[in-house]
Amino acid sequence: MSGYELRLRASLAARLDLSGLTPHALAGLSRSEVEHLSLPYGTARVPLGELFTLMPAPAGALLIGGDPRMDFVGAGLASGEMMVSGPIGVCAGAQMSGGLLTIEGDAGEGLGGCMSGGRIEVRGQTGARLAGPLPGARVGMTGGTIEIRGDAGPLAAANMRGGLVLVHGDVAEHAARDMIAGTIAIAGALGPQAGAGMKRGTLLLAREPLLLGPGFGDAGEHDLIALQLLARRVPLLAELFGGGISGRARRHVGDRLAGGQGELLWLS
Amino acid sequence: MPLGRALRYFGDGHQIAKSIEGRRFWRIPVMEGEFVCDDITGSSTASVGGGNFLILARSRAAALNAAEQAVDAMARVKGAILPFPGGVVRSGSKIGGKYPGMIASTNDAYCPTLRASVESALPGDVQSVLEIVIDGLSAADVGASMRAGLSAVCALGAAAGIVAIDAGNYGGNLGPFHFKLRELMA
Repeated sequence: MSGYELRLRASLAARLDLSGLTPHALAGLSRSEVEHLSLPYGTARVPLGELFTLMPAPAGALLIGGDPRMDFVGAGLASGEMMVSGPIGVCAGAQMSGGLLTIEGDAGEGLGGCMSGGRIEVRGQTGARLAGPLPGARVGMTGGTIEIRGDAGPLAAANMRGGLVLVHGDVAEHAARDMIAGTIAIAGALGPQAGAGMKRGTLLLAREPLLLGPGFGDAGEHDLIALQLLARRVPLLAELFGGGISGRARRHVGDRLAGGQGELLWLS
Repeated sequence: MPLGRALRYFGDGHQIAKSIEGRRFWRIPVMEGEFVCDDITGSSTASVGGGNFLILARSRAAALNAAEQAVDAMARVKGAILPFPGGVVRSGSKIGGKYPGMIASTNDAYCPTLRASVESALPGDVQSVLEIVIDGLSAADVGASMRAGLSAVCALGAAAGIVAIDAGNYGGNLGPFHFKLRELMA
Protein backbone atom coordinates (compact mmCIF):
# COMPACT_ATOMS: atom_id res chain seq x y z
CA MET A 1 0.00 0.00 0.00
CA SER A 2 1.54 3.31 -1.06
CA GLY A 3 1.27 6.43 1.06
CA TYR A 4 0.68 10.03 0.08
CA GLU A 5 1.32 13.49 1.42
CA LEU A 6 -1.20 16.13 0.34
CA ARG A 7 0.19 19.68 0.37
CA LEU A 8 -2.27 22.51 -0.13
CA ARG A 9 -1.44 24.64 -3.12
CA ALA A 10 -3.06 27.67 -1.40
CA SER A 11 -5.29 28.45 1.58
CA LEU A 12 -8.83 27.20 1.04
CA ALA A 13 -11.41 29.75 -0.10
CA ALA A 14 -14.41 27.54 0.77
CA ARG A 15 -15.27 24.51 2.94
CA LEU A 16 -13.63 21.33 1.71
CA ASP A 17 -15.15 17.93 2.60
CA LEU A 18 -12.54 15.16 2.87
CA SER A 19 -14.96 12.42 3.99
CA GLY A 20 -13.72 9.00 3.05
CA LEU A 21 -10.26 10.16 1.98
CA THR A 22 -8.35 7.54 3.97
CA PRO A 23 -5.19 5.49 3.39
CA HIS A 24 -7.37 2.46 2.65
CA ALA A 25 -9.42 4.37 0.05
CA LEU A 26 -6.25 5.50 -1.72
CA ALA A 27 -4.58 2.10 -1.63
CA GLY A 28 -4.20 0.69 -5.08
CA LEU A 29 -4.93 4.00 -6.82
CA SER A 30 -2.33 5.43 -9.17
CA ARG A 31 -1.06 8.94 -8.61
CA SER A 32 -3.17 10.13 -11.53
CA GLU A 33 -6.29 8.46 -10.15
CA VAL A 34 -5.74 10.15 -6.79
CA GLU A 35 -5.25 13.55 -8.45
CA HIS A 36 -8.56 13.13 -10.28
CA LEU A 37 -10.62 12.20 -7.22
CA SER A 38 -13.57 14.56 -7.04
CA LEU A 39 -13.93 16.48 -3.76
CA PRO A 40 -16.87 18.62 -2.55
CA TYR A 41 -15.49 22.17 -2.37
CA GLY A 42 -17.91 24.92 -1.44
CA THR A 43 -20.94 24.41 -3.68
CA ALA A 44 -18.97 22.64 -6.40
CA ARG A 45 -16.74 19.60 -6.85
CA VAL A 46 -13.10 19.89 -7.86
CA PRO A 47 -10.35 17.37 -8.65
CA LEU A 48 -8.03 16.73 -5.70
CA GLY A 49 -5.05 17.73 -7.81
CA GLU A 50 -6.38 21.27 -8.16
CA LEU A 51 -6.16 21.85 -4.43
CA PHE A 52 -3.23 19.64 -3.41
CA THR A 53 0.24 18.72 -4.56
CA LEU A 54 0.86 14.99 -4.11
CA MET A 55 4.10 13.81 -2.50
CA PRO A 56 5.13 10.24 -1.58
CA ALA A 57 4.77 9.17 2.07
CA PRO A 58 5.42 5.96 4.04
CA ALA A 59 3.20 3.04 3.03
CA GLY A 60 -0.23 3.05 4.66
CA ALA A 61 0.07 6.70 5.74
CA LEU A 62 -1.74 9.81 4.58
CA LEU A 63 -0.25 13.18 5.52
CA ILE A 64 -2.29 16.34 4.99
CA GLY A 65 -1.45 19.99 5.39
CA GLY A 66 -4.26 21.43 7.52
CA ASP A 67 -6.61 24.35 6.98
CA PRO A 68 -9.48 25.58 9.21
CA ARG A 69 -11.88 25.08 6.30
CA MET A 70 -10.94 21.45 5.80
CA ASP A 71 -13.82 19.33 7.19
CA PHE A 72 -14.37 15.61 7.89
CA VAL A 73 -10.64 14.81 7.82
CA GLY A 74 -10.20 11.12 8.69
CA ALA A 75 -13.96 10.54 8.65
CA GLY A 76 -14.58 6.84 8.23
CA LEU A 77 -10.95 5.90 8.92
CA ALA A 78 -10.79 2.15 9.65
CA SER A 79 -7.07 1.41 9.47
CA GLY A 80 -3.74 3.03 8.74
CA GLU A 81 -2.40 6.36 9.87
CA MET A 82 -3.37 9.92 9.03
CA MET A 83 -1.46 12.98 10.16
CA VAL A 84 -2.57 16.58 9.76
CA SER A 85 -0.10 19.41 10.16
CA GLY A 86 -1.97 22.54 11.13
CA PRO A 87 -5.55 23.32 12.10
CA ILE A 88 -8.61 21.62 10.64
CA GLY A 89 -12.33 22.20 10.44
CA VAL A 90 -15.33 20.29 11.72
CA CYS A 91 -16.06 16.61 12.29
CA ALA A 92 -12.51 15.25 11.99
CA GLY A 93 -12.42 11.52 12.72
CA ALA A 94 -16.20 11.24 12.46
CA GLN A 95 -17.37 7.63 12.36
CA MET A 96 -13.81 6.34 12.72
CA SER A 97 -13.63 2.63 13.50
CA GLY A 98 -9.87 2.08 13.62
CA GLY A 99 -6.45 3.48 12.79
CA LEU A 100 -4.70 6.59 14.08
CA LEU A 101 -5.49 10.24 13.31
CA THR A 102 -2.98 12.79 14.57
CA ILE A 103 -3.71 16.52 14.34
CA GLU A 104 -0.79 18.87 14.93
CA GLY A 105 -3.02 21.87 15.52
CA ASP A 106 -6.53 22.86 16.60
CA ALA A 107 -9.60 20.90 15.58
CA GLY A 108 -13.09 22.30 15.01
CA GLU A 109 -16.46 21.13 16.24
CA GLY A 110 -17.62 17.54 16.22
CA LEU A 111 -14.22 15.85 16.57
CA GLY A 112 -14.67 12.08 16.85
CA GLY A 113 -18.43 12.31 16.31
CA CYS A 114 -20.00 8.83 16.33
CA MET A 115 -16.51 7.29 16.47
CA SER A 116 -16.50 3.55 17.29
CA GLY A 117 -12.80 2.64 17.38
CA GLY A 118 -9.25 3.76 16.72
CA ARG A 119 -7.40 6.66 18.17
CA ILE A 120 -7.29 10.44 17.70
CA GLU A 121 -4.56 12.71 19.06
CA VAL A 122 -4.94 16.49 18.94
CA ARG A 123 -1.98 18.63 19.94
CA GLY A 124 -4.04 21.82 20.18
CA GLN A 125 -7.57 22.78 21.22
CA THR A 126 -10.83 21.30 20.03
CA GLY A 127 -14.23 22.86 19.46
CA ALA A 128 -17.70 21.98 20.66
CA ARG A 129 -19.30 18.52 20.75
CA LEU A 130 -16.09 16.52 21.16
CA ALA A 131 -16.96 12.78 20.93
CA GLY A 132 -20.61 13.63 20.54
CA PRO A 133 -23.24 12.64 18.02
CA LEU A 134 -23.15 13.80 14.44
CA PRO A 135 -26.10 15.92 13.29
CA GLY A 136 -29.18 13.72 13.22
CA ALA A 137 -27.68 11.01 15.45
CA ARG A 138 -28.79 10.28 19.02
CA VAL A 139 -25.61 8.60 20.22
CA GLY A 140 -22.06 9.94 20.18
CA MET A 141 -18.76 8.12 20.44
CA THR A 142 -19.10 4.40 21.25
CA GLY A 143 -15.47 3.23 21.30
CA GLY A 144 -11.82 4.13 20.79
CA THR A 145 -9.63 6.77 22.41
CA ILE A 146 -9.33 10.54 21.91
CA GLU A 147 -6.54 12.56 23.49
CA ILE A 148 -6.66 16.38 23.50
CA ARG A 149 -3.50 18.17 24.60
CA GLY A 150 -5.24 21.54 24.90
CA ASP A 151 -8.74 22.64 25.95
CA ALA A 152 -12.08 21.29 24.76
CA GLY A 153 -15.17 23.32 23.88
CA PRO A 154 -18.76 23.06 25.11
CA LEU A 155 -20.73 19.80 25.16
CA ALA A 156 -17.68 17.53 25.27
CA ALA A 157 -18.74 13.87 25.61
CA ALA A 158 -22.42 14.77 25.27
CA ASN A 159 -24.44 11.65 24.41
CA MET A 160 -21.21 9.65 24.51
CA ARG A 161 -21.84 5.90 24.81
CA GLY A 162 -18.39 4.33 25.14
CA GLY A 163 -14.66 4.74 24.76
CA LEU A 164 -12.19 7.03 26.45
CA VAL A 165 -11.59 10.78 26.08
CA LEU A 166 -8.56 12.40 27.71
CA VAL A 167 -8.32 16.19 27.97
CA HIS A 168 -5.12 17.74 29.30
CA GLY A 169 -6.56 21.24 29.47
CA ASP A 170 -9.89 22.72 30.54
CA VAL A 171 -13.34 21.66 29.36
CA ALA A 172 -16.07 24.21 28.72
CA GLU A 173 -19.71 24.14 29.87
CA HIS A 174 -22.21 21.31 29.46
CA ALA A 175 -19.64 18.50 29.40
CA ALA A 176 -21.11 14.98 29.50
CA ARG A 177 -24.65 16.20 28.96
CA ASP A 178 -26.95 13.19 28.50
CA MET A 179 -23.89 10.92 28.62
CA ILE A 180 -24.86 7.27 28.26
CA ALA A 181 -21.58 5.45 29.01
CA GLY A 182 -17.82 5.74 28.55
CA THR A 183 -15.18 7.80 30.31
CA ILE A 184 -13.93 11.37 29.95
CA ALA A 185 -10.88 12.26 32.02
CA ILE A 186 -9.99 15.93 32.51
CA ALA A 187 -6.74 17.23 33.94
CA GLY A 188 -7.79 20.89 33.85
CA ALA A 189 -10.88 22.70 35.06
CA LEU A 190 -14.43 21.51 34.42
CA GLY A 191 -16.93 24.07 33.18
CA PRO A 192 -20.41 24.65 34.63
CA GLN A 193 -23.50 22.50 34.05
CA ALA A 194 -21.48 19.30 33.65
CA GLY A 195 -23.30 15.99 33.64
CA ALA A 196 -26.82 17.33 33.18
CA GLY A 197 -29.05 14.44 32.14
CA MET A 198 -26.16 11.97 32.53
CA LYS A 199 -27.42 8.36 32.57
CA ARG A 200 -24.23 6.36 33.03
CA GLY A 201 -20.55 6.91 32.35
CA THR A 202 -17.66 8.46 34.22
CA LEU A 203 -16.33 12.00 34.47
CA LEU A 204 -12.86 11.66 35.99
CA LEU A 205 -11.32 14.88 37.29
CA ALA A 206 -8.01 15.90 38.76
CA ARG A 207 -9.71 18.18 41.26
CA GLU A 208 -13.06 19.14 42.72
CA PRO A 209 -15.29 21.02 40.29
CA LEU A 210 -16.28 24.55 41.26
CA LEU A 211 -19.95 24.05 40.57
CA LEU A 212 -21.93 20.84 40.37
CA GLY A 213 -25.55 20.46 39.35
CA PRO A 214 -28.27 19.68 41.92
CA GLY A 215 -28.82 16.23 40.43
CA PHE A 216 -25.54 14.90 41.81
CA GLY A 217 -25.32 13.28 45.25
CA ASP A 218 -22.16 12.73 47.28
CA ALA A 219 -21.39 9.01 47.65
CA GLY A 220 -18.25 9.67 49.71
CA GLU A 221 -14.57 9.07 49.25
CA HIS A 222 -13.49 5.60 48.17
CA ASP A 223 -10.50 3.48 47.35
CA LEU A 224 -11.56 2.30 43.88
CA ILE A 225 -9.83 -0.75 42.47
CA ALA A 226 -11.34 0.09 39.09
CA LEU A 227 -9.33 3.31 38.99
CA GLN A 228 -6.12 1.48 39.71
CA LEU A 229 -6.99 -1.00 36.99
CA LEU A 230 -7.68 1.79 34.51
CA ALA A 231 -4.40 3.48 35.30
CA ARG A 232 -2.53 0.21 34.85
CA ARG A 233 -4.20 -0.69 31.58
CA VAL A 234 -4.14 2.81 30.10
CA PRO A 235 -0.73 4.42 30.72
CA LEU A 236 -2.04 7.58 29.01
CA LEU A 237 -4.57 8.00 31.80
CA ALA A 238 -1.92 7.75 34.49
CA GLU A 239 0.21 10.20 32.51
CA LEU A 240 -2.72 12.63 32.25
CA PHE A 241 -2.79 12.95 36.04
CA GLY A 242 0.98 13.07 36.42
CA GLY A 243 1.26 9.37 37.14
CA GLY A 244 -0.67 9.85 40.36
CA ILE A 245 -3.74 7.62 40.47
CA SER A 246 -3.78 5.88 43.82
CA GLY A 247 -7.39 4.78 43.41
CA ARG A 248 -8.72 7.20 46.04
CA ALA A 249 -11.45 9.41 44.68
CA ARG A 250 -14.56 11.28 45.81
CA ARG A 251 -17.64 9.94 44.03
CA HIS A 252 -20.74 11.89 43.13
CA VAL A 253 -23.62 10.07 41.45
CA GLY A 254 -26.07 11.58 38.97
CA ASP A 255 -27.85 13.02 37.22
CA ARG A 256 -30.48 11.79 39.68
CA LEU A 257 -32.95 14.37 38.42
CA ALA A 258 -33.01 12.29 35.24
CA GLY A 259 -32.83 8.94 37.03
CA GLY A 260 -29.18 8.61 36.05
CA GLN A 261 -26.45 6.52 37.65
CA GLY A 262 -23.46 8.24 36.11
CA GLU A 263 -20.50 9.18 38.26
CA LEU A 264 -18.27 12.14 38.70
CA LEU A 265 -14.99 11.22 40.35
CA TRP A 266 -12.27 13.52 41.46
CA LEU A 267 -8.94 12.22 42.61
CA SER A 268 -7.90 12.75 46.22
CA MET B 1 -14.83 -17.77 29.54
CA PRO B 2 -17.63 -15.17 30.08
CA LEU B 3 -17.28 -15.21 33.84
CA GLY B 4 -17.83 -11.51 34.60
CA ARG B 5 -20.66 -11.37 32.07
CA ALA B 6 -22.65 -13.66 34.33
CA LEU B 7 -21.42 -12.31 37.67
CA ARG B 8 -22.52 -8.77 36.79
CA TYR B 9 -26.14 -9.61 37.54
CA PHE B 10 -25.22 -9.79 41.22
CA GLY B 11 -25.04 -6.00 40.98
CA ASP B 12 -28.84 -5.94 40.63
CA GLY B 13 -28.74 -3.07 38.14
CA HIS B 14 -26.05 -1.07 39.94
CA GLN B 15 -23.20 -2.73 38.02
CA ILE B 16 -21.04 -0.54 35.79
CA ALA B 17 -19.37 -1.70 32.58
CA LYS B 18 -16.14 -0.17 31.30
CA SER B 19 -14.65 -0.93 27.90
CA ILE B 20 -11.09 0.24 27.65
CA GLU B 21 -8.56 -0.55 24.93
CA GLY B 22 -10.74 -3.31 23.57
CA ARG B 23 -11.29 -5.01 26.92
CA ARG B 24 -14.49 -4.84 28.91
CA PHE B 25 -14.66 -5.15 32.66
CA TRP B 26 -17.37 -4.87 35.30
CA ARG B 27 -17.57 -2.93 38.53
CA ILE B 28 -20.06 -4.60 40.84
CA PRO B 29 -20.95 -2.79 44.10
CA VAL B 30 -20.52 -5.08 47.11
CA MET B 31 -20.51 -4.54 50.87
CA GLU B 32 -16.71 -4.46 50.92
CA GLY B 33 -16.57 -1.81 48.20
CA GLU B 34 -16.44 -2.79 44.56
CA PHE B 35 -15.83 -6.18 42.99
CA VAL B 36 -13.98 -5.70 39.70
CA CYS B 37 -13.71 -8.42 37.08
CA ASP B 38 -13.13 -8.84 33.36
CA ASP B 39 -16.13 -9.55 31.16
CA ILE B 40 -14.28 -12.48 29.65
CA THR B 41 -11.72 -14.35 31.71
CA GLY B 42 -8.87 -16.22 30.09
CA SER B 43 -8.75 -19.91 30.79
CA SER B 44 -6.22 -22.66 30.41
CA THR B 45 -6.57 -26.43 30.44
CA ALA B 46 -2.91 -26.85 31.25
CA SER B 47 -2.85 -25.28 34.71
CA VAL B 48 -2.41 -27.04 38.03
CA GLY B 49 -4.83 -26.81 40.94
CA GLY B 50 -5.02 -27.98 44.49
CA GLY B 51 -1.54 -27.72 45.93
CA ASN B 52 -1.95 -27.36 49.67
CA PHE B 53 -0.39 -27.53 53.08
CA LEU B 54 -1.71 -27.42 56.61
CA ILE B 55 -0.28 -25.40 59.47
CA LEU B 56 -0.70 -27.18 62.80
CA ALA B 57 -0.35 -24.78 65.72
CA ARG B 58 -0.79 -24.50 69.46
CA SER B 59 -3.43 -21.77 69.18
CA ARG B 60 -5.68 -20.03 66.66
CA ALA B 61 -3.57 -16.88 66.95
CA ALA B 62 -0.37 -18.79 66.23
CA ALA B 63 -1.91 -20.59 63.26
CA LEU B 64 -3.27 -17.35 61.78
CA ASN B 65 -0.01 -15.49 62.27
CA ALA B 66 1.93 -18.25 60.52
CA ALA B 67 -0.61 -18.47 57.70
CA GLU B 68 -0.44 -14.74 57.08
CA GLN B 69 3.36 -14.80 57.04
CA ALA B 70 3.22 -17.65 54.52
CA VAL B 71 0.71 -15.80 52.34
CA ASP B 72 2.93 -12.71 52.27
CA ALA B 73 5.89 -14.81 51.11
CA MET B 74 3.83 -16.74 48.55
CA ALA B 75 2.33 -13.57 47.05
CA ARG B 76 5.79 -12.70 45.75
CA VAL B 77 5.99 -15.88 43.64
CA LYS B 78 4.77 -15.39 40.08
CA GLY B 79 2.66 -17.96 38.21
CA ALA B 80 0.68 -19.12 41.24
CA ILE B 81 -2.30 -17.81 43.17
CA LEU B 82 -3.96 -18.54 46.50
CA PRO B 83 -7.64 -18.82 45.50
CA PHE B 84 -9.21 -18.45 48.95
CA PRO B 85 -10.01 -15.05 50.50
CA GLY B 86 -6.86 -13.73 52.15
CA GLY B 87 -5.14 -16.89 50.96
CA VAL B 88 -6.17 -18.80 54.10
CA VAL B 89 -8.62 -21.69 54.45
CA ARG B 90 -10.27 -21.72 57.84
CA SER B 91 -12.49 -24.74 57.33
CA GLY B 92 -10.58 -27.31 55.32
CA SER B 93 -12.59 -30.18 53.91
CA LYS B 94 -12.46 -33.86 53.11
CA ILE B 95 -14.08 -35.43 50.08
CA GLY B 96 -17.70 -36.53 50.63
CA GLY B 97 -19.65 -36.76 53.86
CA LYS B 98 -22.27 -38.79 55.69
CA TYR B 99 -25.15 -36.86 54.13
CA PRO B 100 -26.21 -37.71 50.56
CA GLY B 101 -25.27 -35.08 48.01
CA MET B 102 -22.41 -33.60 50.04
CA ILE B 103 -19.34 -33.49 47.79
CA ALA B 104 -17.21 -32.20 50.67
CA SER B 105 -17.53 -31.87 54.41
CA THR B 106 -15.41 -30.85 57.40
CA ASN B 107 -11.97 -32.43 57.53
CA ASP B 108 -12.68 -34.26 60.78
CA ALA B 109 -9.24 -35.84 61.10
CA TYR B 110 -7.79 -32.34 61.48
CA CYS B 111 -10.52 -30.85 63.69
CA PRO B 112 -9.01 -30.33 67.16
CA THR B 113 -12.34 -30.75 68.94
CA LEU B 114 -12.97 -34.17 67.39
CA ARG B 115 -9.91 -35.93 68.80
CA ALA B 116 -11.96 -38.34 70.88
CA SER B 117 -14.59 -38.88 68.18
CA VAL B 118 -12.59 -39.76 65.04
CA GLU B 119 -9.20 -41.11 64.07
CA SER B 120 -7.37 -37.83 64.54
CA ALA B 121 -4.30 -36.82 62.55
CA LEU B 122 -3.32 -34.20 65.09
CA PRO B 123 -0.58 -34.32 67.71
CA GLY B 124 -1.82 -33.73 71.23
CA ASP B 125 -0.68 -30.11 71.56
CA VAL B 126 -2.38 -28.85 68.37
CA GLN B 127 -5.39 -26.63 68.95
CA SER B 128 -5.82 -25.04 65.54
CA VAL B 129 -5.17 -25.94 61.89
CA LEU B 130 -5.25 -23.58 58.92
CA GLU B 131 -4.78 -24.58 55.31
CA ILE B 132 -3.29 -22.78 52.34
CA VAL B 133 -4.38 -23.85 48.85
CA ILE B 134 -2.32 -23.04 45.78
CA ASP B 135 -3.22 -23.02 42.07
CA GLY B 136 -0.65 -22.30 39.37
CA LEU B 137 0.18 -22.25 35.71
CA SER B 138 2.54 -25.22 36.12
CA ALA B 139 3.59 -27.77 38.72
CA ALA B 140 6.88 -25.90 39.06
CA ASP B 141 5.02 -22.64 39.85
CA VAL B 142 2.89 -24.35 42.50
CA GLY B 143 6.00 -26.00 43.96
CA ALA B 144 7.86 -22.69 44.11
CA SER B 145 4.93 -21.01 45.84
CA MET B 146 4.60 -23.83 48.37
CA ARG B 147 8.34 -23.73 49.05
CA ALA B 148 8.13 -20.01 49.83
CA GLY B 149 5.21 -20.54 52.20
CA LEU B 150 6.72 -23.55 53.94
CA SER B 151 9.98 -21.66 54.44
CA ALA B 152 8.13 -18.74 56.01
CA VAL B 153 6.32 -21.02 58.47
CA CYS B 154 9.48 -22.96 59.29
CA ALA B 155 11.29 -19.68 59.96
CA LEU B 156 8.73 -18.92 62.69
CA GLY B 157 9.26 -22.34 64.26
CA ALA B 158 8.12 -23.77 67.57
CA ALA B 159 8.75 -20.49 69.38
CA ALA B 160 5.84 -19.01 67.47
CA GLY B 161 3.55 -21.90 68.36
CA ILE B 162 4.04 -24.02 65.25
CA VAL B 163 3.84 -27.75 65.95
CA ALA B 164 3.96 -29.27 62.48
CA ILE B 165 3.21 -28.79 58.80
CA ASP B 166 1.14 -31.39 57.01
CA ALA B 167 -0.75 -31.65 53.73
CA GLY B 168 -3.99 -33.13 52.54
CA ASN B 169 -3.36 -35.86 49.99
CA TYR B 170 -6.95 -37.11 49.83
CA GLY B 171 -5.76 -40.67 49.39
CA GLY B 172 -3.72 -39.58 46.39
CA ASN B 173 -6.92 -39.57 44.33
CA LEU B 174 -7.46 -35.84 43.79
CA GLY B 175 -5.74 -35.17 40.47
CA PRO B 176 -2.47 -36.17 38.83
CA PHE B 177 -0.17 -33.71 40.62
CA HIS B 178 1.29 -34.61 44.00
CA PHE B 179 3.42 -32.16 45.97
CA LYS B 180 5.40 -33.98 48.63
CA LEU B 181 6.54 -31.58 51.32
CA ARG B 182 9.81 -33.35 52.05
CA GLU B 183 10.79 -33.28 48.37
CA LEU B 184 9.87 -29.61 48.07
CA MET B 185 12.07 -28.67 51.00
CA ALA B 186 14.96 -31.03 50.17
